[in-house]
Amino acid sequence: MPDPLAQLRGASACYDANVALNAVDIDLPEGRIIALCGPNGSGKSTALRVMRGLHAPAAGQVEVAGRPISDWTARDLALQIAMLSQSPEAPGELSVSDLVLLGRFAHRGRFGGVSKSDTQARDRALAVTELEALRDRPIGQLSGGQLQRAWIAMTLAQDAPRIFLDEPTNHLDIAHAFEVLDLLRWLNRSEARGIVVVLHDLNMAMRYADHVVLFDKGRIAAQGATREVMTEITIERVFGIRCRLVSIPGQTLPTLVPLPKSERAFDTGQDAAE
Amino acid sequence: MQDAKLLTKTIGNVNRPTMTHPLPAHLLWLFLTLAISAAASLHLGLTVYDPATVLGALRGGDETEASLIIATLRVPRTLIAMTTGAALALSGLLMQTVTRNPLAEPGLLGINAGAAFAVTIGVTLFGMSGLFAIGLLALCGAVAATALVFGIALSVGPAAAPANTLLAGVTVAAMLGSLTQVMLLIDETAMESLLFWLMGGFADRGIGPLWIGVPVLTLGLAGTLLLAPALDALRLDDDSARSIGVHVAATRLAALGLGALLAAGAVAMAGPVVFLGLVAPHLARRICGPTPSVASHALLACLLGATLAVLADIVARLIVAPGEAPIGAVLALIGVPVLVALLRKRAEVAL
Amino acid sequence: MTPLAASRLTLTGIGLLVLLVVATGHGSSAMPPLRVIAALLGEGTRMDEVIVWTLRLPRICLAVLCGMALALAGALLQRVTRNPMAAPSILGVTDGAAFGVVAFLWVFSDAGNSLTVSIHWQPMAAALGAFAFAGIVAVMVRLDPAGKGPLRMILYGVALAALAKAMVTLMMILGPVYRASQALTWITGSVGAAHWSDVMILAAGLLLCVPVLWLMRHDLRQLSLDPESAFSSGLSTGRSQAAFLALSVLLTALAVSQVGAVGFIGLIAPHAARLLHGQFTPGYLASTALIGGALLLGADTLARTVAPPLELPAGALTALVGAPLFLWLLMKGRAVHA
Repeated sequence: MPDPLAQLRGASACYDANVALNAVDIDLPEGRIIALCGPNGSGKSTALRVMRGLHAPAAGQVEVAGRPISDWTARDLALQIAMLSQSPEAPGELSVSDLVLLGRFAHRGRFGGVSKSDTQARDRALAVTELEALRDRPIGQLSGGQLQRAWIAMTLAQDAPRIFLDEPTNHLDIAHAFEVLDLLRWLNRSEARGIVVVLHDLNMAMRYADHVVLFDKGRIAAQGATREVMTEITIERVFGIRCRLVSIPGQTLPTLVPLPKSERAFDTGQDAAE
Repeated sequence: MQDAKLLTKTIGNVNRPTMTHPLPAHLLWLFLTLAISAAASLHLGLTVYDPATVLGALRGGDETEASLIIATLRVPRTLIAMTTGAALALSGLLMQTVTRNPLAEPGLLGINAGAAFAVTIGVTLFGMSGLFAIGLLALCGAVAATALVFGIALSVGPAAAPANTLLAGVTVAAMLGSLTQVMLLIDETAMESLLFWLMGGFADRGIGPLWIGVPVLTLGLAGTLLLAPALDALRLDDDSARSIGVHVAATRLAALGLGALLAAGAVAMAGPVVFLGLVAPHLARRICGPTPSVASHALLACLLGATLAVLADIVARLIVAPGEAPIGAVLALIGVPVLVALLRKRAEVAL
Repeated sequence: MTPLAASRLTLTGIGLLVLLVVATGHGSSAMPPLRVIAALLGEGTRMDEVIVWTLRLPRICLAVLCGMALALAGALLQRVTRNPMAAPSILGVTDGAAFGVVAFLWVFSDAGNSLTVSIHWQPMAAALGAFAFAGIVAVMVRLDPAGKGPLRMILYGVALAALAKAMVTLMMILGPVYRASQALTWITGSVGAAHWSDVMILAAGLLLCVPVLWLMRHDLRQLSLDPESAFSSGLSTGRSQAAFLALSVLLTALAVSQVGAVGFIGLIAPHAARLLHGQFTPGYLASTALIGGALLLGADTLARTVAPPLELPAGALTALVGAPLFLWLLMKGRAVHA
């Protein structure tokens, strides 16, 4: 096993008095596609934000890319790990091409202007996300899917060997969601970039992730290789639903089918939506 | 849960304050505070009266000087302070909610400036006088200025984009303010006679302005409660609101219109009173946390606004007695410490 | 820079120059533009040169430089707070300066209503007040247990500004009437008689800021992203926000200590530049500065020529000059954005 991408030991994080992450140990391998899954409010986004230095841990050790998180400067960390937040914002009058160039910040010097490597990275990111035709369009005029791709392009232009994404398929229809995840897989397989992605859709996670961390109420319910973690028993326990893993003819991977709530789920007061 | 997450997303790194008390408890203690403040307002002043005198005056009958002062001076100014405070607070809440901008306040739509301009013109050029005439002039000026602002904002973009409306408002307000100032600088006698009105205040206005203020406040509050569900949805981004069936532009325009009406009513009653419309909504939000409900914020803001106005009015007659301190300055003296204390207590609250 | 943006910037610059010449020609003795240019180039009559170089030009340069400083401060604030309504007054700087001035007039007045120290200390008092209030806002944000973002800063700034304004009002009411009117003129803002030494102070301040702004231009652009995305792309968000805030406090304090609490320019000039040039073109800040300078110069020229011999405070006229122009830009902007 290569050096870990991230290692959390007894890490906790809270918002005000609410504990979002409760003394968790996490090990993320380098160079894989890693999915963070779990119910709403289970701490998966918080874990990602803690690992990216966006949220200070209240306790515990956090080490990413071989160094404690507090030792990284913003710029050095950006050169190592790009991150797409859940709801990024920029002025609507910014053009797609300018937005993508903003991703090059960590590569630019105080004195230099836009260098050749900047424009090359921008053009490559635009090409990969198929946004070349829209490059001069103000982002305020893009559709939800186009906008999400523009943000992904910005993240790619950062040219970091590792990319974190917080629910990147959020505003996308199913076709665009698959496109984004195919893109992530391509980046992982052909450019050997490590990907950590918060995903809501368990089927997506099963299909695309090599490694899954399953969160439940601020703790880790399971982590490891996808096939070992995503079992009917674990999912039923974490999400409080009944489900079956079904093989579909012609598909190598099984598909998760949630079933209606059992009486038992009502009795224990668990709710699939929470 | 998902909704709450969407609601807080505009601020980015948002903490999620928990609601410590239910709404009725807040309403109750605020209402009690208001009642106590109002009672205090009847007792305190240049002369302090005992409860028996005040009660006697309220019952009517005796013709003592004390009764006369209480019935014709203190009762009206207390009522006007309450109505104006509630109207301004509600107006500010509507504007901050609709524009999603924490700096929005009634003055930004050009309402105060329009009223002041109309009054100044009426007094300097046409020699008008009398409080009722001035109140009416103020109302007309306020409505005209708001209409101008909306006209400009609408001609800029069909969706009445919040930033454009605010920019148009602040520009029109600055322009009218500057015209007013120039007129007053040139005509110094007008400056002296108008200064008391231009400072804003609740004293010496009689009971008359309430005939404008109370209907406006009632209408404004009812309208706000009617609009509240749509406004809750507007606190998401426009697209999300649209997707759950809210007519974004119409709701926004209706709410801004209500806000303008309320502020116009307030300015007709008490002249341009600053700061209250800005700070009361922030206090309301910070007291009850981001309950995703505009309706409860509206009720809280009304009570808070009325209480603050009455308290400020009491202080205004006491600190520079026998003179009267300008109400805006006093409001700031009272409101700022409260705002700072609340700011320190709670994390950011989504608008 | 695209040729279009460059040509627009040049046009704005030429506009400011023309305004400068016209403004210099206006006054108690009118001078046609050619004579003004001759005097500026040292080819005019002795009399003209005295009028232009010692009487009019210092005042005009001061107006332009103060307008530039206010406009730049506004642009920085709007970017840092990501709020289009942010203006130099929201940080408590302007009202803090007013507090400094009124306190100065109050403390150093004797029974006969005359100052016991030189009036030349007044800008110093304004600057002190400005920095003191900005400092208090910064400390309060720093000590705040609940968070630090720009929104909290705005709220503290607005609160402190209101407090300063309230104290100013009360001091004006309780103090002697003569001082009140003097304070009122300052609060409205006016350029008044200026000396080259004042101009030099301001020019030095601006010259100090320009290279810093140039070095931090990438940071400023990056701040148009939300703070998390900006940080993820490598920006030390907190540090650069603090740096830009400090810069805008410095610029505002420089300007208001000389010309008083002139409003509207810091708010509107950046928007006018945005509508004219776009917010993300390299010339944005330059254009903001040019527009700000032109606005205050226009207002001051009107102020001293509209009702002679009465001098109106320029601050009362900035909106009168700027508002119609800006509304026109705003409505024209529809064609660009729709």
